Amino acid sequence: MDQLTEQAKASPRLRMNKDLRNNADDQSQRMLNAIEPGSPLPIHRHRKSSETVVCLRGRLVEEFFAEQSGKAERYDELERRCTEAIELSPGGPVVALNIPIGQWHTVRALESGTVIMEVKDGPYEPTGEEDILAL
Amino acid sequence: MVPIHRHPTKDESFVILRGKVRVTTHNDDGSIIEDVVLSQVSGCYGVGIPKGVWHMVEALVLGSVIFECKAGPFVEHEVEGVLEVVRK
Repeated sequence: MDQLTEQAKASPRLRMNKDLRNNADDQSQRMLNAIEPGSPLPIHRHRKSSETVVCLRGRLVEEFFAEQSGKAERYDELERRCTEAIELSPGGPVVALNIPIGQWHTVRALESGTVIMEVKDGPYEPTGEEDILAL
Repeated sequence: MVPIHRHPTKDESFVILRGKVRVTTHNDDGSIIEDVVLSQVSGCYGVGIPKGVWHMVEALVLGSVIFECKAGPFVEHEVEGVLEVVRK
């Protein structure tokens, strides 16, 4: 994890993941993600799977955003209203959480050295443009 | 303590959330292949158990909690028996 954090610090995105799958045919996704404070992660959603996040080290906040009302495909009309902000840390009251399928979300690291494990169902598919909120 | 068992179709991942547990993998005769202790203090946070590999989990302190995950939908009794080892 120290190595992953060092790679995250050196990356322009200030984060670095480590794929824990056996291979690309795996029917589930497991990865470590080292996230540094300031890492830009657009609000996005996964429409085929919920996502479980476990905070292994450091401290971060998961933010959920309001579902769009009405027109399902008009994601640009999404209210950019944070409905929940949940702090995760290994020793804290919340260690892990589940992000429901389709839930718009993002994450912000609050401490350097933060590492999470992310678990999703189904084989890997890149997040589509319509699932990333352009700000 | 969870007896030595194996899952024929699913890999399994364990991550320690709290406390300290020992995870061991075993040969058919019960002998140990690998023996690891998971704890956040030691920095050994998790393991991956390949499908079909006999394994066991033992809590070493009270209040231990692990996060387990396997691929695919829940399968009831997706356990291919329990390894009975004759202790000598």
